[in-house]
Amino acid sequence: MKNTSGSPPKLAQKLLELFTGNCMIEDICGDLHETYELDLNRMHPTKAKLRFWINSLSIIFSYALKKRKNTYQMSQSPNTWAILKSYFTVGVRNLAKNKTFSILNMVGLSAGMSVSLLVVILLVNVWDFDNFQQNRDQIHRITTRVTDVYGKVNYATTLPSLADQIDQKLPHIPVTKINTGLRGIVNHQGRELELTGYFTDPQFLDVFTHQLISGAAGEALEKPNTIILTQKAANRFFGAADPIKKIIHTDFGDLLVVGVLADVKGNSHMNFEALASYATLDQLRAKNALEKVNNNWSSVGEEYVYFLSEETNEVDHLLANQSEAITKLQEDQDIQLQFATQGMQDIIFGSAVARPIGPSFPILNSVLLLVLTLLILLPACFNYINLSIARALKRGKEVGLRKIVGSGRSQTVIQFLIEALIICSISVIGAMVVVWLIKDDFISMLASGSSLNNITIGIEGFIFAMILALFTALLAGLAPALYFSRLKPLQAIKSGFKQKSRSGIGLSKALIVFQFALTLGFLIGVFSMMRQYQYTLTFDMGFDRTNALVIPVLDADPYIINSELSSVEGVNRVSMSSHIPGTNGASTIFINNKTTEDSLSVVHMAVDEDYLSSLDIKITRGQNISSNAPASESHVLVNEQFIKDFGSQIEFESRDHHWVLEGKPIRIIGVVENFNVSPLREEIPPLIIQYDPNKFRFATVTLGTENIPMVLTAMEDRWDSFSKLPMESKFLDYHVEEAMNGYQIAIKVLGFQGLLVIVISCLGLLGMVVFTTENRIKEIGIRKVMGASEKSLIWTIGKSFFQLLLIAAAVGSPIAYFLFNIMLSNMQFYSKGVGLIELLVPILTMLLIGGATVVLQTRSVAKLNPSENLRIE
Amino acid sequence: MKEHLGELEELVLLTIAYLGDDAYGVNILEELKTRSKRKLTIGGLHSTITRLDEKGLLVSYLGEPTKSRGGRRKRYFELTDAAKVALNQSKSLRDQLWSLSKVNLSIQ
Repeated sequence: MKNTSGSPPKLAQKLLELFTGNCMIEDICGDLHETYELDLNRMHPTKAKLRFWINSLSIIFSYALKKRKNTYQMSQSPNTWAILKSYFTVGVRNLAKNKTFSILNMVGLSAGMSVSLLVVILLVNVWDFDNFQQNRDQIHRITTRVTDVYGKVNYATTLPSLADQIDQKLPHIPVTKINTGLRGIVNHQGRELELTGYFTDPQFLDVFTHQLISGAAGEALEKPNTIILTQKAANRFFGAADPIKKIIHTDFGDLLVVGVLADVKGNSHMNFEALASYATLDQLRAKNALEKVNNNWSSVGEEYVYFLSEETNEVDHLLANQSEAITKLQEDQDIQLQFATQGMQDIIFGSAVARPIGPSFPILNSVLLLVLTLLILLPACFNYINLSIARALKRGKEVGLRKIVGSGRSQTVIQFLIEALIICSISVIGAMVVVWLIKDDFISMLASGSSLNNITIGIEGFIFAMILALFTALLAGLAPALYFSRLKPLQAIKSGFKQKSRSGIGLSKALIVFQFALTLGFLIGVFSMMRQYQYTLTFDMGFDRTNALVIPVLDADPYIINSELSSVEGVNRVSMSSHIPGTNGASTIFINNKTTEDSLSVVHMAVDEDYLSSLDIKITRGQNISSNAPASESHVLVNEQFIKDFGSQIEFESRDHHWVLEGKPIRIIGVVENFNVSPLREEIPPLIIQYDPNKFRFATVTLGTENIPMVLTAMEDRWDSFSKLPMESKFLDYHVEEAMNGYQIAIKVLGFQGLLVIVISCLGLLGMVVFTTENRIKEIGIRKVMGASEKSLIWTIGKSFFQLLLIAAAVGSPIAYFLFNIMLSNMQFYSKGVGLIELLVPILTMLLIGGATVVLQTRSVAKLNPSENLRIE
Repeated sequence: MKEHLGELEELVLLTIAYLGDDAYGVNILEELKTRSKRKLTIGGLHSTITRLDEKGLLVSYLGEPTKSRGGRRKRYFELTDAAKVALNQSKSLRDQLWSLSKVNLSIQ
């Protein structure tokens, strides 16, 4: 036979193999080959090759191949269940047999999954919020952004008059106002019961989906002194009896029950037991029994406005107009109001607002949470990967044997994934226990201020827990599964099998390095955050904040406060200011140039002549401001920053006709040294200090060091003589520290997560040492017989682990250094940053904890009696 | 007969019968192609053989590996009794129709 160009095209054969899979086509391949050989004799080799291709393709698309594939699969499938069952049994037996492996992994995975599980359960719970509302996507509420001396704050509350405005001008939009003040003790048939609910109008039932079981919907909330109870509250008050037309006695008068609402299914951001008519409230206000609410922001308490509309354009437009009009009415208060609309989704997941009507969860929306959650789950998965591969010496034989009797690669992968799934499923139960223990603390850390009263781990939570277990099993189990599926069967069952696959060891090392680098990152984060907090607390802000008490002026006259409080014994000095230094809310004003129409943006502070000296702020040039400055000029003090920024434009001490403050020419009469007028996160701005009694908002009282509680009581007594409102006093220190309390939350969250990561990483390291020493137990025995000391043994075994820890430190610390340096200086302009100490202490801590783990375990192995170990087999 | 015997199927069966002990893929294909002068791919042939196998008209067995064909074994085919019945039925149907034909089918 003439055979000039050898065997048929390889590529076509490969392609055919790819399409045939595992089924038998030896005979067909033979036919193809024979045809090719025949063709070679008949035609040009190129043509023969082409024909081989055509014939191969004709096989690929033929019914013959399809049929054989089907038959093959049919012959496989009856066994699938049995095989899966066997994998399950073997998996369980393996876990039971290798207790160290199982326990280390379960503890690690439980800890790792706990945070993810908590986040998942939280999300499930929160996602369901207000789901019973049929028009959930169309419900909006009106929020208010208030800009005043304390800074800018977003409130969930708003003026009730806006509801009336919308009602009049946009009658097609259902709008309802809610007052959450209906709470207190209710006297009912001699019993005292608590009741919480809302005052609202009949449109409430149009906007929200609440079903009235009995009573007429239309007039239910129309008339004064009427109330609707929820089914639950009605049962509590009246038991099985019909509550309609009964009367309950409340702090707001006797209210007639006119309806019963069905209880809602699921969580809501609004929680109430009863709805009383808004008319009740109006009536009480008319009688002066309650404080009147008008368009003055300070009169607004727990008032909310909700409306139902697909589009918010019309309402937004109306609100923009109202914002302007109503801000004008607040002229005496130096306060700005801006109204905005907020959809239901935003209410629950959006950014935090003051005076929320119920719980909200802005934190759940953040990527940071996801990253932090994964950063805890990953180390636990890495433990599993590492420990599985470290056990390869033992499991390898099993895998090798399985392969020899015919197990395919995919079957090995499935077997190891099932094992991972078993361990993850058990761990997720452990995680649930951990969740149960930490959930309250953790939620308060994550969503401080919002109370989630009942998070449930219902069927849904359970399903998500299982999904999480599945996800984790994939994450953790895939690498070992692939590793084992790649083992060469003959090598694996040979008794001299060593971990030939360097990739396995390399991977393990890389993962340990990652874990400890991460641990180090958390440690550095927590430590530098703590140091930064400490630094911030003791930072010299340029003014003396010890023993200074800050009292808001409220309704009192600043002059009276000054004269009355200064005469209290123990009070050194009383002075007034418009703003508390070191806190938010300093107001920014513009100085205008008459000729060039330029303007300079500066921070403004109004103080009296005693203020600077009582806070020990030094005047470096010129003189102090005084109350008897000429009315024709604005006499101001500026800080050094001002001179630095604008000194070339505005001359010191000369009357400047070009620059105007509040319509009067400016004269800089003095310069004070820089002090932190705003919190430390901001750079010291150019500052103008002026004497302006109209702007005094806070009295600062410097006290002697003795007997502070007594002095305080005396001051309160004196205060009551001239003010109807109670005195609110806090130390200046408190205000300054309050402006920085973001740190405490960050330290807590990072600290807790760091603890989890450290525990998980150390468990993993422990496991690695256990399995490594197990594999080398004879070597250790021989070394010992040959005269190695315990110390040298620890060094021999531990050496490679110490190396890994050092690499982790080398890799982790620079990354953490840059990351946290950026983060800290973003958090705060006057930042301590990450210094040598902030790096060294965590590195040493990590080396110590990791090193101790290694040393303790190796020591226990090194102490073993060598004759015992060498005698096995 | 439950299932209709297609024309190609009939030809394949007859070719197998003709080839006797030497009826395997390539032989059948070559034989069919030369005799019927029709284009037939190897995939098409094997599909037809698979269908005949499904109908229970043929059985197959693997031969011994040889040095040619890349060392791969041949699959030999044999007719079953059912195939003989089917072929007979098919032939008698044709004979019947031939004999009953009112048009003279003979050509010069």
